[in-house]
Amino acid sequence: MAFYELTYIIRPDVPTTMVDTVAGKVTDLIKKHKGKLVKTEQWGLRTLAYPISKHKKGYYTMMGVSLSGQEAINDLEHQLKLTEDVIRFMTIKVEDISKEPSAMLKAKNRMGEEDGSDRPERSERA
Amino acid sequence: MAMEPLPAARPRKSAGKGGKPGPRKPRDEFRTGGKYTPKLLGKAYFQRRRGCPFSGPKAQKIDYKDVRMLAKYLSDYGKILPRHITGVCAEKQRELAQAIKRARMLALLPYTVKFDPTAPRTERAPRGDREPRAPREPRETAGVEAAE
Repeated sequence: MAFYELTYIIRPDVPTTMVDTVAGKVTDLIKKHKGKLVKTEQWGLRTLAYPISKHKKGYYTMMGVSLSGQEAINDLEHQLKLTEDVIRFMTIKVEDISKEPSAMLKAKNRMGEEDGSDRPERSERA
Repeated sequence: MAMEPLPAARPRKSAGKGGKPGPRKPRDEFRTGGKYTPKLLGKAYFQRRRGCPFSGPKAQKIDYKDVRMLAKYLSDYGKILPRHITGVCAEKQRELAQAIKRARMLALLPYTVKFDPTAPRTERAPRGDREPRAPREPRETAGVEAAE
């Protein structure tokens, strides 16, 4: 078993329920490969540093996953590639996954409701 | 100090560790090979400190998700700053570069920034679709003139 961090961006012009739909899909895939979902973080709607396929914003989701075998990763990445609502994803291998919220969520909490456009209730779901 | 009566023909030493701060610019240009001007480097230049910020017992972790931390190691153009500017040790610089490249891939950090070095630093770009408002014209003094 190894730990992986999977981060993906969903295009902004789909209904917000799509975020949960894709998350559910990924969770099912992980279950299929007998992996374990360690944690999920929703970073909410963020402005992209550069446009990706003409989108300027995107819904970010980060998942900490424990999986065994390259095949599981390959399958996961293949399925994400086929999902058209996911405009970018990245899987990286990590030593371990900390239980604490990542720097991204901390930064967001510090900012508070300064820019109210980002739904604050999203960040509380962990 | 005994250094005082020395002729001015040794500018490098007097600009170095002496009590009086010598002419700063030539020395720093010498350090960076004249390639990076203070303006270009921004924050990292002025806040240079000794020692690697990622080494030691209470050091920060390098993480591709920590965008604010990573942004300090980018130039105004979005390029990764060389470590002789930032003081990061070689091992950590490799990690840092990897983290920045990961953040770039996820569009957390830009690959490149359109930056105008001639623009004054404090001025920020106008936000979004709104045009910057033209300076208000002085109020008409027609009434005063008419009274004359």
